[in-house]
Amino acid sequence: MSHQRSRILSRVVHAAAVVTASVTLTFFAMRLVPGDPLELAAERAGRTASATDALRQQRGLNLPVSAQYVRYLSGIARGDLGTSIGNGQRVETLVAAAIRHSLLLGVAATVLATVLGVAVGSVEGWWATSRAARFSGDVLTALYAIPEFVLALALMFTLAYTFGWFPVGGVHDPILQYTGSAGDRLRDLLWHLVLPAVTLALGWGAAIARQQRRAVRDIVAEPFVRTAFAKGVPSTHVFLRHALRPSLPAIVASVGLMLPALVGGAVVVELIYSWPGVGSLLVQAIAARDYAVVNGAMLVVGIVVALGSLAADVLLYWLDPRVRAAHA
Amino acid sequence: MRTTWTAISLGCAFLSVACSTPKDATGAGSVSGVLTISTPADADALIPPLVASTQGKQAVDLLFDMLAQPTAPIETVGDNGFRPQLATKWTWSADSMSIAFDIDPRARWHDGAPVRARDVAFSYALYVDPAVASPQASTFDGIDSVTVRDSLTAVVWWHARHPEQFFQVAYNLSIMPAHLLDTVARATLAQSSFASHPVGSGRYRFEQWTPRQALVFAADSANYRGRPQYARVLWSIAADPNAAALRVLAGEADVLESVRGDAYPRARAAANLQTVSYGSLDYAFMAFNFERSAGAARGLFTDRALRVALTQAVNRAAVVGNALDSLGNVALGPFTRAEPTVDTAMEQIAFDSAAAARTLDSLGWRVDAKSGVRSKQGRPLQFEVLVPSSSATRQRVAVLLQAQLRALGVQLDVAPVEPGVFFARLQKGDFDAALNMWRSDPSPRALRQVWGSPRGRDIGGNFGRYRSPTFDALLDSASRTFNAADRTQIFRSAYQQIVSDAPAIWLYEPRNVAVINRRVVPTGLRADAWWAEISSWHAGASTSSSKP
Repeated sequence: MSHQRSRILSRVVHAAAVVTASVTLTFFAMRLVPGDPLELAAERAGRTASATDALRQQRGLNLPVSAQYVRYLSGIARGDLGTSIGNGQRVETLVAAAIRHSLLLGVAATVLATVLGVAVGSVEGWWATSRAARFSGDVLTALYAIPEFVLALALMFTLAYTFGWFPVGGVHDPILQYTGSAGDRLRDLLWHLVLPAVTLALGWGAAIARQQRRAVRDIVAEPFVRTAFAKGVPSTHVFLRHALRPSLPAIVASVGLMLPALVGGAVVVELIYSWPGVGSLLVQAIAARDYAVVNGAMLVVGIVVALGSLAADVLLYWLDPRVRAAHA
Repeated sequence: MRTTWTAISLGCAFLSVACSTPKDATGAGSVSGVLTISTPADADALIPPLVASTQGKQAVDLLFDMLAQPTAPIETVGDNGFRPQLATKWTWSADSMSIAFDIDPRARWHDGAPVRARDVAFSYALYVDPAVASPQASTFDGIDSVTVRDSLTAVVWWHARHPEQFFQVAYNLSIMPAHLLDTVARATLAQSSFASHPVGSGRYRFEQWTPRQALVFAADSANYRGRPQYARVLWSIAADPNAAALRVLAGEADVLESVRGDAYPRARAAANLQTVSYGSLDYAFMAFNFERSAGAARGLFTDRALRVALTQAVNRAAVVGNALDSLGNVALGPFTRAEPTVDTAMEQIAFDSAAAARTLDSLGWRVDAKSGVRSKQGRPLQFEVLVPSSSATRQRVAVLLQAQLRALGVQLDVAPVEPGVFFARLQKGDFDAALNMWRSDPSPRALRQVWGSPRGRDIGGNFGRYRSPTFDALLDSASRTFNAADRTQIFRSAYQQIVSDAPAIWLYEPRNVAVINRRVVPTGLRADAWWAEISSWHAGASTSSSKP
């Protein structure tokens, strides 16, 4: 087996171990949290104690925790993630729908943040003395300092509620499912995506901009850049042909981890914009002590994080010849 | 370079396409014939026996018919307060131990099959089957069986007579199709295909359910009770109550069932919205734990005089005004003004801080000059109140109570806890006092299940483990009394008993104010089910549909 393949295989095995550990930790941690899921549901529903006991037995929640864990692992092996205590739906159905929305939001936010961050950071780093560059950097830093929920509420209140330029929340207008063409529905989806994606992108973009600025400034001092200037190459040309690419590896790791972080971690934005992603699903499931949904969602998030990390490594390997050489 | 410009171009294209969505192709109500309801939570199930949430109840009530429909205000004794729905008429047996319901021969399931008496018997069996574990199974206690006399006549039999026989079956039994459900394993009903694509006989049929996003019903144009006005009813599911309110205020939905906080003045000021008040069955209270055996409050609340003094120390009108402004009334007890048996002029424990202070002094609770907190034989008059962190109103109320009681020398510590922990501690009795909220039932009999003395592990809503044989006896007696006037009188005696016993400080009754677009003409908003007459709602004369 080639070195490259064995390296990838080793990373995959490592990722699987991490995901297993994360799922196990979540499984047992949820059982330690006070509150019985069926008692919570029964309190709302007025179910009698004996009926609750019957339901507990039906769902296997009367078994010892270790037995429940074994049962859960064997379920995963069969592709059965269980059913939600809240609504009885299959966990894989709920999580699949949530992950689609999270990926859509995550990809959009990642792309926006990367473009914004690389652009502003590069300009700030390359034309460091320019007032416009410094101003744009300061604006992004200010946005980075604003808590995410404040930014989300501010954007929603002004752009959506006051001016009516965007919807106040949701994924799409359900009426258009019946009255609109495919093009209308796509435009509607993108229209709903703008505010939550921009909210996330502004914070992450600022972080990327700071990193990119530092990376570009380091490159400015490199001998090959001075040589290019000495040869009379125009500044913009030097930046785009010689400086930009070497600066990118510094942020690849950040970008590679951004998507997984957004998939499970954009809870605040999802709740404010009613975006039905994995983060809000997890929060609601934890509050309801819906063990099966929490376990299923954490399993998927773990896999996405592992894949994202692997993808970042592969990208770095492809982007930076020094990394390839080090592993040759 | 090319890559960068390509990325920038794509981003601009994304934004321009996204921002070019024509406004009139979106938003509720901009398309006629669709009624959009903004709701803060998803339905939990679409099969009636499995429903535990309000949103689920709203959905199944549109999809499935009952044998008869209550009129407003609800009358739970006898059958005068009901009009025919699935049953065209009903006949009581001579001994009143059974009622025969004649099914409307025109009634059809949404798949075209006729509704039959067999469906009534099947539906009852489904509700009470232990394998289904329906949270509503206990509502049918006392019913012996449901039999089929002929294809269009179902007979409900009781073990014994009681005044609410008709209400018990007509109000609670949703009729489901036996021909579609009788082959489904009861234990896996929630995972069946019927659960995700239910078939009923109501004026609306199921169209689509996108969990956590939207639930859509379409008008059943061939329905035996006539086609409803709106072509579709759509529940637009938001992440929380604030998001749900914002959708209506922004013109993206037509109906919000209950407005809170600063959304209320905005709704009142909006030219395109109307606010509609309707009765409430909710009440909030600070319950005392009678069986607290540990901590600062151990055994504290077994003394009625102390409980009364604590109640007298609280200016409830001020608390409600501060916390809820005009969106709440002072609670009368574990019941609300919307219930017909309630006497709003009943005797209450009035606010009287001077009397409270005298009572505490006489009980030996003297104010410590240094700390300002009362104590008795070295034990401070101090206890903790649990508050669910999810309720901003109750947290605000807790702080107000803290200040008022502190003025009397009572140390109240406020402990906000996560809702799951809140309920877990209530169940275990691991609390001193708790700020809870309950929704009462149209039937005052239900008060026995909620506040009656605990029966084994079933404590209902009586987390404080209040016990009063007198209260229990009055409720039992009232529940068996057929004469309406006598029954009301006995219930009022029971209400007076529990109010006088002060097992809780009855705090507030939230006012239900719905926000509805002026395009919509709503009818029949009942306290127990504001949605009950949605199939009769219609669009009014054309009015402004744009945001103010």
